[in-house]
Amino acid sequence: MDETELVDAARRGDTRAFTTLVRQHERSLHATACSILGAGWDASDAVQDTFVTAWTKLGTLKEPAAFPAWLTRILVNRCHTVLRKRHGEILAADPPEPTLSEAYDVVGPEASLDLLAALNTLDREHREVVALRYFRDLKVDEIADLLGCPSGTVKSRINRALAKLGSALCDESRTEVSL
Amino acid sequence: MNCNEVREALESYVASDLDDATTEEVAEHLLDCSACAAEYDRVRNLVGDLKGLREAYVPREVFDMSAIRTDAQPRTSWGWKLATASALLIAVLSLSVLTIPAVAETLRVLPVSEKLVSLKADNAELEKKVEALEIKVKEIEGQKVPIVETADPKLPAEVNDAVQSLAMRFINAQYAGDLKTLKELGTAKLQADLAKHPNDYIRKGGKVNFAQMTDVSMSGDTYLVFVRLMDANEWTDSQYQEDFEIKKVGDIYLVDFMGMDA
Repeated sequence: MDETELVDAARRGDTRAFTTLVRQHERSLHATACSILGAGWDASDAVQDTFVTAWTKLGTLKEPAAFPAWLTRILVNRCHTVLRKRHGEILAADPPEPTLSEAYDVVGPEASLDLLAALNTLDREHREVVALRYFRDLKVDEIADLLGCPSGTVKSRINRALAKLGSALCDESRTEVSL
Repeated sequence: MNCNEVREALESYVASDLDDATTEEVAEHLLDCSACAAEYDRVRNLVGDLKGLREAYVPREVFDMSAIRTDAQPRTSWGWKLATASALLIAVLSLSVLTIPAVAETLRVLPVSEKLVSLKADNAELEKKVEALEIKVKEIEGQKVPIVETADPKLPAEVNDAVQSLAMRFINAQYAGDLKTLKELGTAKLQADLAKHPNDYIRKGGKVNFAQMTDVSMSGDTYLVFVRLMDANEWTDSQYQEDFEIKKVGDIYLVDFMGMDA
């Protein structure tokens, strides 16, 4: 079954179809939540809550084809709620080392871990647009709509994020060479 | 196109988001400009590597359906245990309000959810609560709103009315883009968040329809009320919900926190 058919089946109460949808989306949702909240239990809980909400409210989704974007929206709203619950704290400029998390195992080749470390040097706004663009495959207009800001701002943040990542990776490789 | 313009467009070019004419211009420039071609390679490789990161985080707790069927409490409770149950009940009931003629004209027709049937079959406790709930229509700040009587024990009517009115005024101010009023209706904590993230509070407009509001419940010194609503712009694919935490400061009720949910 393609995703639209899975969503239709899940809407009719088919738990196996919903579980398949969960498996298809969970890794990218976790990566997105970790980008926004840091790789801790808050992120893990946000994803779990997103799936519970999606199952409960699937009947209100008008278009099955909109499921991925709808799921992302639920997650982002949940993450933003968590952030506000943290009493307006801005995530620390130096978030915890992503490989040392109780809630997650971080996997991948060393180059990926370097990129992950570079991603975590960005501020939350830049990490968020990177996650929405490359983990959830949203278009610029969809991200703008979700975050309530102009498309130009989103494009600008994406370009700045890519430039900063490039610099961070260059600095990392210079450090390795000099060692 | 000059080099600056091409470099600004490279990310969109990699994503194939440009129109045909611009795509062709960028492609032609890359054939002639080795510096921009090198930058294109860098961006393309970086984007590919970033996409690979979506598999990087393996959660130690994996979601399964039993989390829903057993009504398991979330590990990080926000102290909303009663409120969470109320919110879930509102979601289950959100389609039952169509039977109320007084508001039928303001609601678009929603498809009947078979979810309610499967939820009822799976959870006898939930079914009892659903059958015990009453729905009435109440006028709040000039709007007719179906009220789901979920709170148990019930608060005094004047408290209930004051908190529900505050939530309604807050939502009206959101849709009017009225940051000044939102600030006046909020505690210092909400005002601080409003100043940092105004876009989280302003709604884009369009006619707003109130699908449901709960009676007010209490958790500690905090009043809780949930409002389900929909409009032409904000969530075009479904209803959505705003969750309010309200505190009494002196003699005045103020919004301390507002969260948005599906």
